[in-house]
Amino acid sequence: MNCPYKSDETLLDYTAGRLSPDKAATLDLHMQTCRDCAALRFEQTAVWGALDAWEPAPVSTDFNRRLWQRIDAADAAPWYQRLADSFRFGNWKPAFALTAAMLVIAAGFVLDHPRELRQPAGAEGVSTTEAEQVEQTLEDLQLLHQFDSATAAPKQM
Amino acid sequence: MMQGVNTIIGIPSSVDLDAQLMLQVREGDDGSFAVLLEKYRNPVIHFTFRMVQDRAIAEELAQEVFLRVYRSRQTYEPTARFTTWLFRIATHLALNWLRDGKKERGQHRLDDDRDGEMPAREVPDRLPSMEQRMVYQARLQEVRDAIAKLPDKQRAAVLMHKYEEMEYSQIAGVLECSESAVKSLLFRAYESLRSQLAYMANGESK
Amino acid sequence: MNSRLTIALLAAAGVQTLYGQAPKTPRAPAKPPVGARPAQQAPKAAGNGPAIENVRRLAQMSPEERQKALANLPPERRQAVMKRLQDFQKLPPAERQRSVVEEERLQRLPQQKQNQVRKSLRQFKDLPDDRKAAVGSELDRLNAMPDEDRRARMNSEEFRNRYSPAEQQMMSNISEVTARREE
Repeated sequence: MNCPYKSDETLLDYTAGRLSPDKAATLDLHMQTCRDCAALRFEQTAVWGALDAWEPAPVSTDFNRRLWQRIDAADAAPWYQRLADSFRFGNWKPAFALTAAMLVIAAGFVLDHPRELRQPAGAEGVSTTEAEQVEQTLEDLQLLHQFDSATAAPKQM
Repeated sequence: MMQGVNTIIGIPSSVDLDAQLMLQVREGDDGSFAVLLEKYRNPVIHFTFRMVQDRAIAEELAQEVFLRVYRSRQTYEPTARFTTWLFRIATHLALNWLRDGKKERGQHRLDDDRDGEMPAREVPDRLPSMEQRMVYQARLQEVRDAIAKLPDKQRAAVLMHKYEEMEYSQIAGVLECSESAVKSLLFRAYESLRSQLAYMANGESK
Repeated sequence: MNSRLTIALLAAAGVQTLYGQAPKTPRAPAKPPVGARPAQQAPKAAGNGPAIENVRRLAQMSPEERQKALANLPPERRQAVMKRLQDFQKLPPAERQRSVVEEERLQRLPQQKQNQVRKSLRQFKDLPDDRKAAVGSELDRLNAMPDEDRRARMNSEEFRNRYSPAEQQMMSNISEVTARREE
């Protein structure tokens, strides 16, 4: 029998606890009859557990101080140094090609057309709206108030 | 009061809260940059650390991320969620570093500061036994190896999906690919991780 | 030719970053001098953050204005938001203020941590009554402690023996926003 969830991200979301309660309940029922999905759930849960155990090292205590020092140094650097710095960490290939292309394009525009700067590509889609933020905030406030009510009598903050 | 089109406080409805802080940085407010730094310093460093598996390199990359964020402040426009932009920079830098072949130096090293040490929240009241530490270290190394074996983009996708809990659409924005491409990356990545790590569910050792 | 080459070089020097940023905006005012750099700790928030401000403004609107402001949401979610807002407005001021302070703390956490705290609050709600009472009263005790005492309590053998690892993690997450602290 072909499982409808095979090769589907639904299973992944299910094992990560990211499905809505209704959808999770549907998968719970499905797990009772589909051995493949039940096996995947078992294995994926083990993977989540293994990944959870991987905690990175603490951050250096002077990270912020060093960053601000670099920011101040970068701000004080001349423009050509700032341009050179933008090629650090392996950005040579795309940045060099981009700069070369822009030199050709800019030269062409200057020679044959009114000077104009190319505008980068337009905005990408945005997934969060203010209305959704309000929705989340009110949900949080309700959760927090339910928690506060469930614990002891009123206390000072 | 409501202004403009479907906005509540006059800022376009597509601007998230962190982007609002970044807009204040654009206006010269370094305090807002400090707030963003405090909020995202650790997530960015942890992300770069898990990508390159070298603490010193991870911090250097993270410094570069925030330096670029700060340097871009005057031209900043909230065309995407702030975290999408932030992790796009971090991912680019990490992928470039890996592509340049430097990963061979650090791949099989244990983290210097955590040699023989268990994470703080798992430390029991009694000191772990030698055997417990060895088992822990062996398992940790297997997790690190399994992640390191993933192709770079699959690795980045898994780290964002698992540790930053990003949605597929946001990961697509970071990696500048389609959502279906992200799902494909994650499907293959987790399949690979299951084959290497699923035995841990039984409490076995390899 | 020299001037054309100079212009072309200047155009290249003004190349945008590779990360999809939009066109330049007018230069911002000069940043504060180096000596005015903020301390490494995040500065205290002066008043409510943007999220709470949005809720406050929504609360001040007429019902028609709220409908327009929330028009991006599907009808069921819009109604749910309106209901939650009405319920929140009916609370005694002290309870409202307490929830607001906790929400502000939540918003200052990294996104992943925020999600963990939310998950733990839901898990607390779903605990059986006897565990909810035990965990709740422990959290009351923890929330009233200074940070150092709270950490010591949570690392104690008695604490680890009394509560499951899941309950311990739940309390650790929730106390990130509910614990008393100097602000």
